[in-house]
Amino acid sequence: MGGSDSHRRSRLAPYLLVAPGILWLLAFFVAPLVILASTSVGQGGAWYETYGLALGRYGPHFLRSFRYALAATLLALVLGYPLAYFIAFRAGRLRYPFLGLVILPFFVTFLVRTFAWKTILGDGGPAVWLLQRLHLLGAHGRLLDTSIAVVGGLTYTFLPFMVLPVYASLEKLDRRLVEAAEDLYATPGAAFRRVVLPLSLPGVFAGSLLTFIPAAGDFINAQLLGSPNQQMLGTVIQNQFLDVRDYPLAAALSFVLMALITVVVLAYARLLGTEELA
Amino acid sequence: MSDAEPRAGDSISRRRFLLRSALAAGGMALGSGLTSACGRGAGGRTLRISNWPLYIDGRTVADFERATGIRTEYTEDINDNAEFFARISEPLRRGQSIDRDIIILTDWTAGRLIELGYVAPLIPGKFPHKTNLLDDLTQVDFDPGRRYSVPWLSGMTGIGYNPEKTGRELTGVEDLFDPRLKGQVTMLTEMRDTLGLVMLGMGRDPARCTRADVEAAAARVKQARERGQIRKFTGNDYAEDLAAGNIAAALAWSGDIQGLAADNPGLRWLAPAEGAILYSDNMMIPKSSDRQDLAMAWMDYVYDPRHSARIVAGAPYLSPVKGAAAELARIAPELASSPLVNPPAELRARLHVFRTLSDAEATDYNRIFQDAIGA
Amino acid sequence: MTERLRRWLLGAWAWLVLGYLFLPIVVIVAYSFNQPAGKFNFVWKSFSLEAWRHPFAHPALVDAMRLSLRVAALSTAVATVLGTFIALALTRYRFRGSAAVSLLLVLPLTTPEVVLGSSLLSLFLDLGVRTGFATIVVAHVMFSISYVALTVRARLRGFDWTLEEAAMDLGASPLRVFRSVTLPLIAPGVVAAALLAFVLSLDDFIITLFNAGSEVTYPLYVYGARRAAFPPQINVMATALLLAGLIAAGATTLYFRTAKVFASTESPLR
Repeated sequence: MGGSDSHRRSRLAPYLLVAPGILWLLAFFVAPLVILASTSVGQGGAWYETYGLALGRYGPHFLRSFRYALAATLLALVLGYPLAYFIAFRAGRLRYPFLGLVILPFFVTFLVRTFAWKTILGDGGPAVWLLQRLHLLGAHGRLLDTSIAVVGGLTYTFLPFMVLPVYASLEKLDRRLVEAAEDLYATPGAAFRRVVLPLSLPGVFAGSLLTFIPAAGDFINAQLLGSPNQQMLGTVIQNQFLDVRDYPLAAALSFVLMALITVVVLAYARLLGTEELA
Repeated sequence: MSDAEPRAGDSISRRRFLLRSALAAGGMALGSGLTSACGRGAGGRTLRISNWPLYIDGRTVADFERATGIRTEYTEDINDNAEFFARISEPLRRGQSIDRDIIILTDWTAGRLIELGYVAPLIPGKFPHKTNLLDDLTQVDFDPGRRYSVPWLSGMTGIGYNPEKTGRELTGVEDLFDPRLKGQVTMLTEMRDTLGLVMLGMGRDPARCTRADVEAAAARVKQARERGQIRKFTGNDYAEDLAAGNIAAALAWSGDIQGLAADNPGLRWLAPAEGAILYSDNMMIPKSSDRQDLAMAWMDYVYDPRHSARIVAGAPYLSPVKGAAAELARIAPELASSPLVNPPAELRARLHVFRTLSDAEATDYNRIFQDAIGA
Repeated sequence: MTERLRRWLLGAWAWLVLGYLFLPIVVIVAYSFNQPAGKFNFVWKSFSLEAWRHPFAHPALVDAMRLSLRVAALSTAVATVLGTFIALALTRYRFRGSAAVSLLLVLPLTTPEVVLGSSLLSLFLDLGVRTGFATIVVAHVMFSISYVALTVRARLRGFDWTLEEAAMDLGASPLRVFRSVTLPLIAPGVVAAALLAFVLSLDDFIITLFNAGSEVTYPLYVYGARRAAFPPQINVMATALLLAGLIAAGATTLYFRTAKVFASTESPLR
């Protein structure tokens, strides 16, 4: 039967299966990061100057990026959680069509969608008209090229990334558990707080990361929907890399961004008590 | 957006080089097969031109192809001097091809490319019409005697505005700082245009500017930006916001506004009372081109006054070709009298050129400018 | 608050959020029927079928779309194979290093795109590789592998692999086992993953911007279009992509007789 041979083969099999993909990631994801790190350190001992410059001159951009990304994540959670809950528990057989609706915007190119927001929010557009009629916006007020537009755009762009993981975690809940909780606790609200919400936290965690991380690094929304006073770190990195070509500075900015994101993620994991991504 | 050469990459230490090579080797083992499988062969003899958007009429490329039999790929992919420079300089430095035979860039970028040795010299024998170049454009400090470059078109940087939104006629640069236009003004990401005009508004001359002038103008811009007076810094995309009615006034290139007439017929272009910036965009052959003869055929073709007039009829800028004005009067008489293509003496007297900067100056001033625009 | 009121509020909220998601899409589709006054399709002028009648009127736009489709097809093919292999290894076998593999799959998702794009450009600059078609594909495969592997893995969790072993014991060749047993089992997940990879590739702007050299994909064209002319054909193409997406999703669902296919794209982080 050649048992030992097939045994050896099956021991080797997983490595052969993962090898091509993992090599690809090592070559085009890990190696570039290492090169980026060595670029940011530059030649000689000036690396701390580069990093000092990155943090000093662009401190406001860092703060702004994190503020906007945080706001977008919270908004996406407030908007997205009830939607995910609705799809999971109230949509019945229409669950999958609803999920399809959440995914469908992806089929329309992100940039085209952002341009559509420019049309909607423009000075002569419908949003300004409506808000001025409702006296929520002054006669000279505007939406386009403000922080409201940027945060709104970020929320919009990454909302599906919040809805889908939250939905996935809700869908896995045992209905009987929820019903038992509703019997146990006096009000449905309490049942939700004590049972459903805690059990859906992994989904909230995943969704928040998938919203926060790309939002913190995004520059399209800031560029198209913001003024110079709303530019985020992504704009600076792109500008430094592609236009100014100060590679060490650009690389240092990228690294600080990654490091700060890691810190935020770890702190957040602590907060929610989900230490693993699994 | 600066002239800064990359700090990395020029002198990578041996150890770092080895580290990088080792890391990269794996990548290449995977990547090289793909590269060779997908790389498009140069093949054929097509002339490849990069130009700015809205910078030609609709006929010239086809006419040229018919007249010469040279297949031409005309791409409008230049939006910003610094951005395009960044894109091509790395391959050119390594002696790689950029797949272009003619590129068209503004004076200071042209000078930079020539100085770096990235431009192939013109071939005089294949360019008889070069004698048609206007006399005052033959002597430029970045290319004495025009051995490497000839202008495509010249233009003026001034103010484009929408009288409906400004509520009044504008007259000068200072109008852009009017608080009533708060949040409705855009300026350009081109340092020489924005700082040059702001300097003129402050009564300083960009042709003789000092670091102090640059700092003063940049401070003015920065303050206006921080107060929300300036809504954006743009490349060609100010056109979109002006057409859509999102802004009232923009630093704008002279010929663009005419092109927006269909979008918004009320738009106007103005050479500010304090003066406007004059520049040329110059055709050059990148060193990497292996089709220099085709490029010369194109240059010679567009330096025929009849052909140059045709181009101007579609892109209302200033032709650098002698006799083009007369030809234009024949084919488009209403345009020929426009100050956009034929500035009267009074306007010519108000045109200023931003002086050529040394490398160190350019890097230094750019840093000041980038800080001012918040990039 | 009564139960009914709460239900009603939840439903209303859900529909409002869906409305928010679709608002720009309605605008995009509507403006594909606009006859803009000039070069920029940002202000409504009048209804017209002009752009739909001549969807290919702008050669540069057509070229960009064609390039995007080529990139998406190639990168999806490569990433689907590589990602599915990894997913198979992770669900079928227990092996040393599997935890590290899982971690490596998640990391690209937790790295901002601007960092992914710029670091890859650093690699290409360092090696003196010219950026262009090949580097775009390399980049797209890189970010797609994770999505594919995680999507397929999510579908394969809890599968019963004894069927495969039984076939093997009956003397079927490994290739035959893969074709007639393994593939049908994993197909729905693989198809969903491939669709996801395809869409991500078509949509990507940031990473492509860094690594495209002088090539112009559809999103890059759109980005540049605001500077010169923004024709309604851009909206026509976007609408066509939306329809194609609907059809692809519908066909897949019908073919596999389960809508659950797309539920597997729910959460990459699991």
